[in-house]
Amino acid sequence: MKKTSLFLVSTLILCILLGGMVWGADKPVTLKFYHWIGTDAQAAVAEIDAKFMKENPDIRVEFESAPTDQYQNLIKTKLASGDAPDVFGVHPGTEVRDYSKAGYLMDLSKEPYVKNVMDGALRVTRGENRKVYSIPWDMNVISVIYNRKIFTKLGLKVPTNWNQFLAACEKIKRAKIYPMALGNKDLWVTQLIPYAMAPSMIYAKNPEFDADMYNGKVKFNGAEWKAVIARYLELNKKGYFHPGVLGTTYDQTVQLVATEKAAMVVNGNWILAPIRQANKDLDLGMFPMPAVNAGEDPTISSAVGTTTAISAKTPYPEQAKKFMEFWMRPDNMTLYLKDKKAFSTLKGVTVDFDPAAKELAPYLTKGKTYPFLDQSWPNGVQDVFLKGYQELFAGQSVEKVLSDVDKEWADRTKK
Amino acid sequence: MEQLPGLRKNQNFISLLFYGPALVFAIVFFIYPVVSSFYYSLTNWNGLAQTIHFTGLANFQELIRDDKFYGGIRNTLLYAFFVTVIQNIAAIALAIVLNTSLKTKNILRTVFFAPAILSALVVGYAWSFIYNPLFGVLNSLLTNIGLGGWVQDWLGDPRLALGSLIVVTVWQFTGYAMVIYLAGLQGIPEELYEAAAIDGTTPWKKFRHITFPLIAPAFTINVLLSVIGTMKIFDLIYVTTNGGPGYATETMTTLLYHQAFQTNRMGYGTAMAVVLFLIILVLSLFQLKTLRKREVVM
Repeated sequence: MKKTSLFLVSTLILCILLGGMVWGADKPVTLKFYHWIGTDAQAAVAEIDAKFMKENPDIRVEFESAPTDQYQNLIKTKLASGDAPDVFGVHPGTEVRDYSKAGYLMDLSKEPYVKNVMDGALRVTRGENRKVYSIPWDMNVISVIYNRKIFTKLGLKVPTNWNQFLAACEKIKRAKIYPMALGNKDLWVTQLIPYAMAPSMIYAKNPEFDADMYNGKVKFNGAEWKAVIARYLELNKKGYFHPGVLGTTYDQTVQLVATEKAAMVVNGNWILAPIRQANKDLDLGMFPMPAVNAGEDPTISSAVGTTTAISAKTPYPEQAKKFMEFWMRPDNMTLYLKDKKAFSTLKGVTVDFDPAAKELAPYLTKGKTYPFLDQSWPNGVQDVFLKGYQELFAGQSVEKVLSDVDKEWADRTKK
Repeated sequence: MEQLPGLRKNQNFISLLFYGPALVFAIVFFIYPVVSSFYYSLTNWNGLAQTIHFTGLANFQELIRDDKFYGGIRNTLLYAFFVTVIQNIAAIALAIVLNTSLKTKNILRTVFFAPAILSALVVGYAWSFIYNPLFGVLNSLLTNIGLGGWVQDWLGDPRLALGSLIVVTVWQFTGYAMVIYLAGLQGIPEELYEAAAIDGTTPWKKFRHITFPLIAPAFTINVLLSVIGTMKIFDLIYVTTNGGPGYATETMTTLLYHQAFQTNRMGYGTAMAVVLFLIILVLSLFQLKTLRKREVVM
């Protein structure tokens, strides 16, 4: 009796072990890949993932996309509830810092492809101890997108300094066209013109402005930012936007440009796709926001838009790393960037996604760039600033708005 | 007859079968979160970190000094007050008119009630288009009928934005309140009006002394529903103005959403939620007490 049961038990164990081994060899590992890029680059993501699975039959990739504006909350919930995907998108800067601090991200500093990424792009994917916790996949540029036909008709050249820019706006306004479309009902849009100007007006002169902010040497409520805001409000006061700026959304600025009611819009390169979708015959161009004096070169606001990280708790670290390496291959990146309509973060990879972007490319290679401002600010400061821009357009004083932002900075940085 | 103890036990068990599942759901998805938010309001949890630091009443001390929070309370109360007043007056008027023997009354009742079945998101997007300063229906209508001077940036002007939202909510829920009043009106016996007619009363006196006192239960429930509904307004504002321009339409719920989910200050956000909870609780109890007093028992 005892012997038979012992025999039965050991057979059972053997079966389980063998079965497990066979099972383990056959069953492919499934990587969960969670991102927001499915909204703009669905086709490229599907193609690259399929290629990867073909080359690695033992790994299956399950891609899930979430809308951009909800992604941040969704991934936060997943991370906090211990349901982290293996590979997932993280917004550059603050989010990488916060998540790496909370121990959610794998250190990727030693991965082979990291050295091929532009240094400037890596700056916003460093977290705890300056290690690289996320890989930048694409770059965006905030600049002036303009209608070439209107410019030619009015005999305008691309302005290269502030006075020329104002003169161009004035001429367009006289021709009964809105010089610029501005969708300040959407909070995130309110910051774009300052983001395009501040690199030339503040950071070109003092690259350590943010470090000085952290040390308390400078404040938002000071000469530098007041000058930026003054130019922003000058454009409004002179009537270079359309009426109802605070009631207009991003989507409506796309319409205004697509229907040639507005000649320019200051926005990211991502706006090209929806404008072309609405009117494919437009002759569009891009130039850097010329917030400089004659003879100076503008500094371009360019920043990493998408970064992707590996979960620190993934059960399949090797497979996830392999997947990331595959994505970082130049041929796959080119495929992705063409669909995403964004600039490359890899050295030596140029992507031709739009004729308008082509016009900007030479400025990018020879010129100076600076990341989007909020990427080095403490969490929360940008939100107060965004509200502040709306208040400025509603008539609030510059002093009050800037000191509110200063107060938020102080609250967020004190321990 | 004496009941057997075993039978009673059995009955208890059977009743547990019925309310048990609902109770589990209520505890897991309602009571537990409510209780835990009281706890989170005493911490500086950021919604992410695995460690939570207890900070006592620090969040509430910060709330007392937060101008934006007072702005949020002010906007919430203004919104609740105006929506409740306008909506109830309009709903009583509509109900009285549609309680008469109009030929089209059934169609009209449906028409007025229809907006109430729409989701706040649909209503919000639709009205965003109507109010749009450049392409909006309202402004083109005004221009076309020669009132071009009245053209406004309805949601973009901080002086008008809250008012514009009040109009939307009144438009959406007046029909709903109307239906409740209609039910109340149909419960009033015709003899009372006949007697009043014999006494030679004016229509206003009829309303003042018969109709209004007798629809008091409907009034109580309508005021209560609309105060609670408006105090916790979120979806409509989120899709139309998102609290803007600036802080012009920021209510307590949009503020606490921004704090808890956008600036990652879960502790501070839940502290706001706790205050909102207390305000609604006090207001509701006060209303129930005062309004119940003047209800007439028939």
